[in-house]
This record gives sequence, structure tokens and C-alpha cells, in this order.
Amino acid sequence: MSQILQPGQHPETDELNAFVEHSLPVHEEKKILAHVATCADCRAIAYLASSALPAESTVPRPTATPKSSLSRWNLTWPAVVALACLVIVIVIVRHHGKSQATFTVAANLERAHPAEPANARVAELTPPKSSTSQMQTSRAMAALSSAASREGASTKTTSIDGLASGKLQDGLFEAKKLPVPRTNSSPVAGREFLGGSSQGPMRAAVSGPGIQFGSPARVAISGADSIAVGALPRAAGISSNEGEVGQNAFSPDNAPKTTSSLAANQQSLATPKPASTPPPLMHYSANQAVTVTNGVPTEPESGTPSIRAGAVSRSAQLDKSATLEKHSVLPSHLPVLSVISRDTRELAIDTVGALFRSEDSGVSWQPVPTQWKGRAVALTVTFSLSEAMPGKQTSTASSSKVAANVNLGASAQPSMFELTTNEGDLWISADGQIWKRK
Amino acid sequence: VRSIFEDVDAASQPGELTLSLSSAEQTVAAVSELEINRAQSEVSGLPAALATELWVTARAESCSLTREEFGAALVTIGEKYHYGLPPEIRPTPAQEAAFYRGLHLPELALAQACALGRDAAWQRFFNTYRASLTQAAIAITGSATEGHDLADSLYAELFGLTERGGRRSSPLASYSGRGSLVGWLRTTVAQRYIDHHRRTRRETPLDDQEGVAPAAISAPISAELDRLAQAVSRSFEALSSEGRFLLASYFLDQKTLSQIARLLNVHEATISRRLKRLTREVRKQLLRTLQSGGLSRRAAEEALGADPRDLEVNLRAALQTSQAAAFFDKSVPRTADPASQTDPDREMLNQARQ
Repeated sequence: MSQILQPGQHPETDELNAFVEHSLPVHEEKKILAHVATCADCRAIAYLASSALPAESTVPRPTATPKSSLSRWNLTWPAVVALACLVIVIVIVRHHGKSQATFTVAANLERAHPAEPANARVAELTPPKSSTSQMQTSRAMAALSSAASREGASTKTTSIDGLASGKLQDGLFEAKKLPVPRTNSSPVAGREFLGGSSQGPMRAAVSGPGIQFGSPARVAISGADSIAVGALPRAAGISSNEGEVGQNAFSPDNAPKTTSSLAANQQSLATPKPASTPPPLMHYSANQAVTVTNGVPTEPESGTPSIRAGAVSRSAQLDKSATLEKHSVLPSHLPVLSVISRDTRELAIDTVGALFRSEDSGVSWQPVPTQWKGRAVALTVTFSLSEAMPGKQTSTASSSKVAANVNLGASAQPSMFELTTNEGDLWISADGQIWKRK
Repeated sequence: VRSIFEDVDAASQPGELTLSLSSAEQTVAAVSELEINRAQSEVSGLPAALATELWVTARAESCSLTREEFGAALVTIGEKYHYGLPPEIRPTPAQEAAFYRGLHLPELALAQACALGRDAAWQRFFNTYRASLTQAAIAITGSATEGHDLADSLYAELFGLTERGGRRSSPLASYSGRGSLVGWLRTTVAQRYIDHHRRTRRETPLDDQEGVAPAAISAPISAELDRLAQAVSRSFEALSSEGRFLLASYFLDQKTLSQIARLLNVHEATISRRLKRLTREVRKQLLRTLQSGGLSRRAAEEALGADPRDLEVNLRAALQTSQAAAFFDKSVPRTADPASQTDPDREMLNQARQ
């Protein structure tokens, strides 16, 4: 021990050396550290001995630990980054798919077999105030009814083309150009939404069962020149690939909180089909509001579960720069304002209010003499509910705003064409040729 | 039958068995043989097998060290350091053996042989450690001349030229083998160097010493400053041993992060983090202490903003019991004069204030 440092008060040289070389047991090291912390002399000896250590022995042992941990991080970070990227990609893909589904929503309602009980409630497609999607199309695509006819005679199409084209407002978001999916349309359920833009055709394909109601009916939304598709709530559960709207999403339980924008002001009525025929494909334009009741038709009052979808502003409706090609072949050579079909019979109104009638799915058109006052602005199809007779409107459900009251049950029967004038008058017709004021 | 009863001691009580003389002699002989065997199975308190193993491992024979001598040294070291275990733990034979095997056995044998004055050991020690000892002395003193002088004087001391009670005494006998022998030599050189420094400083006339300023009668210290000084002292008292060591090493001894890290066997960044955390904790503790003394938080903050030169705080005294200035601090011993506060103190206070 040092000759000056008092023995017993300071650690021995051997202990200090062991402390410097970190070869002491823990309890002794703490003891020496406690002393060295308060003893400047022993601290000085320790530092001097430590400074005289050869370089190879001065490498602190724990320095290996940070290196090893660093190397572990070097191995871990790429995996973490890759995992994060994968998650991001999945989220983006899913989000993109959902947003795409909002464009390609086709309310493909599987019409129930007549023997099945009617259980479809209301799916009201009205423009949501918060809808933020907008899709521009400039070129009309091939007639959807033609596509339907190519699918076979069993598929019936009712098409109602949209009013207008151009940019949509009312909070609609700027639409992105839709990809062109190579969708194999199902012969029964595969439907295509055809649209176009100045940049090129856009196609949103819908295939698969589509919107599943309790009693399936099939509705395909045929985009007109401009279709505003509101952002569907995630609860809607619309898958992008097949354009399906999950049954749960449109079930009555979920319906009140689901909103999708498909059409705005006008309403169309899907034509019911006999039980023996396959479910018809009903095409709705972007400015059509579709209301589908599911269940007792006398309960479509407020509070009825509904789906609100679609919004087209009036300014958008007034933009008539493009219409569907199919209906540009009207004898008037004017854009189509509204179109509706039942079986192979189609009715169309051009932008000046002239009504045309086609018996061959829109291949040839004949003008219908004007029998009403004012200008025709909308066409709808009503369904009678029980013992509805042709030419006799008995639908009580249609008394409400619900224009297209589709009773999807066994008692659903095709009823009447309805024509709305700009004065608000309602005219009905069984064949589209002879109209009576309602 | 009668002859048998004749062998029985008449003084014995009924029920007692008295052996004949011939039988007792045989028993005593057997016991002494067992003791001899037991004595032969242990070497200086170590099991013979272990003693032999350690002796061979230490190559003690080449140092002219017998097995008994080496075993005795091992037992002494083991008992002194309680086999590396806390005092409350009673070591098992396995723990004892592990402690012995963990020692630097060849160096320990060499040191013990040198302490016993074996020529072969000294020759070996000289050939092995002289160069490294001289280098360490030069490195510590920072001078070749001083280093050589220090190394030579240490050699003489190690050789045991000094005698205590008529017996040669060598510091090498205190080497326990827990660290390396060369490390022990470096530490010994450092210790001798500091002893030499202290001795020469004591021999220096007082006039030549760096002036110790008389305790100036400064202006009456305000109550707040006094309170702050007490709070500083109290905060440092509450520090842990490691915290004290870090603060003293960094602020008082002016050691670098690298030097501290090397001594504590951690990374420099760890020392840096710990120092920051320590200064933060000291500041918080200061605030708490000041607030507990009746100051509001704002007043405590303002008190921390006081100029350290206005404080009468002997941080060295607060951090360490040894009042002597650190070896590396050539400044004069601390006084109560605030003007004599050295830069490390001010730096530490500034750190705490921040």
C-alpha cells in the first residue's frame, strides 16, 4: 500500500488494479467505486494506471455490446422497413380498391325468385352532402343494353342514362381516371359501367353478384357522361374487383349509415321480371336516384333503412357535352336526358324533352307523340306490389319520395312507365306509347 | 469362561464394556493412520488434487515454488478476499475451487516466488516485466528520466531490499492474482509516483506554493445565496457513488469522456448520457430543495441563476471526503473564499444551473 495513504482507509494496490482491470466481483467493485468517487488520490491512481494500459487491453468490454446490438439493428432495420412498406402497400391497395369501388358501384340487385319472400328493404340512393367523388367522362360508350343483349336473351336491361356530363359539383372530388379493368362479365351478373372522357374511354366494370339484398335484384349503374359517385362509407364494404356491395353493408341494419352516390335527382325504377326470367339488369345513370324497398312496401317511411348514393349537381346536369353513344342515335340526334327500359322496350327523352320509344333494346327508335303539357324531364318505372294490374297504379310505396319502389318479393310485378314533366306532372303509361295523367 | 472374566476390569460398573489393552492399542493406531491419510490428502488446507492441479497450472515448479508454498499462498488469498463472495455467503468447496482457478495462477506463482527470493523467479520476472514496467513508468511520469528513476526504485523495493523485523519484505507478496501482474505493477508505479509527488510538494517551501488566498471577508451573503449553497451541498450529498464519481472525474479532475469510459468499462456515449442525466437530476434536486425551503418555483429558478462566484460552496468537499485537491488539479486547496473557486467548480455549477 502507499506509504502516504493510510492503510485501511484506501484500497490496496491489488484491489485498485483489479478495479481498473474490471476483474473484481460486483460487490467489491461497488465498494471500490464508492471509495474512488470520494477519494481524489485513489481516483488519480486509478486513472494513471488506466492510462498506462496497453491499447489492446483498453478496449472496454461493453463496447462489443453496442457493436453487436448495432449489427443486430443492421439486420433488423431492413426487415422492419420491409414490413412497414408491405403494410403501407396493403393499406394503399385496399384504400384504392375501396375508392375504385365507389366509382364502379353497380347496384346489382339479384332479383329474387318469385317464390321467395320479399325481404328487400329500401335502398335509397340519393346524393349525400358529403360525397366527394367526381368522375368525368366525355365520350359515351356503347350501349349497355347491347352489352346486355350480347349476354343472352335471359338478361334484361333497363337503362336510364344520365342527364348531363361534365364536372360535377356539390363537393365532389376530382375523379381520377379509372383504370380499364379486363373484367369478364358474368353472363348473368357481370355488368359494365361504361363511360368516357375526353382523354379516352373509361370503364368501370362490375361483375359478380353485386349488391346483395335479402331478395336479390340486379341493378347495374350505367354511367352517363358524368357520374358522381360519393365516397362510400367503409361500412358499405364495397369490393373493388367485382364491384360487389356486401350484403351486410346494404342490409337493413347497416343501411342507414351507408351512403353512396350514384345518382341525384331523378329516380328510376327497376323493371320487375317474371319468375321464369333471369333477373334483369337495371342501368341507372349518374343522375338517377334509386330507391329499393325491401320488405313490406307500406313502410318506406322515414327511418326506413336506406342507402343514399350519388349526387349530381344541377350544373353538372346542364353540362351536356357528352352523352352515351348508344342514345346519341336518337332520331333527334340530341343527347339523352333520361332513359328507361323494361325487357326489350326502352324509352328515352332527349334534352329537348322529346320522348322516343324502342322495342328492340334501343336499336331503333320511334318518336312518341307528345300527350302532356310541358317538357318531359324524367322517366321512371314503377312496380305494382301485389295484384297490380297493367295500367293500374296501386303502389302505395310510391307515394313517398321513393320513386322506384322495387318489391323484390313474389308479388312484385312490373307496372307502369312514369313520365315527369318540367311542371311536375306525372304521366303514366303501360306501353310507353299511350300516356295518361296520373 | 473364567479366563474371559479375568480380563474384565473389576472397577468397571455393570453394563460397561471394558476392552482389553491390546484392543485399545489397535484402535488408537487406526485413528492416527486416518489422520495421517487426511493430512496427506490436503496441501496447506487445499485438497491435494486441487493443489496439485493449481500448482501445475501455475507452472510454479519452474519458479522453484513448492506445492505447499503455493497452496499456502492460495489459501491466504482466498480467505482474505472471501473467495470473491459477499461476506454473508459461506463459500462451498466448489466456489473456493472456482475462485482459485480464476486467479492469474502463473503470475501469482511468479510473484510469490519472487517475494520468497527465488533466483529463478527473479530472473524470469526481470526478463518478462522490466521493459513493460519501465514503459509504464515513463508513460505515467511523462518523462523518460523520471520514468527510469521510478522504475529502478520500484525494482529495489520489489526485490525486498527493505526489511521489516529482520525479514525481507517485498510488495509482490501482496499480489493476489485477481488482476494481471503487469497491471499491478502499473498501479504500483502510479501509486509511487503520486507518493513522490506528494512528498516533493510537502518539501516545497510554503512561500513557493501557489498562494493560498486568505479567506476574504466578503460582503454579507444574502439569505438566498446561503440557502442555495446549502441546497447545492445537500443535492450532492444525495448523489450515488457512481454519480459522485462521474461528476468528480469530469468536473473536478477534468477527465475526458474517453478516460472515464475506459475506467468504468463503458462507452463514451454512455458517460455523456449519464453526465447529462446527472446534471439534470442535480438541477431538479436543487429546485426541490429550494422549494422545500420555502421558495416558490420562480424564486428557486432565479436563485439557480445566481452567479457561481457569489456562492460559497466547496464542491470538492461536497463531492469527496478527501479534501486534498485531485492529483491532476494543480490548484490550491479549496478555501471558503468564493474567489478561489476554480473553473471546474464554476463549470459544474453552471451545468447545474442550466
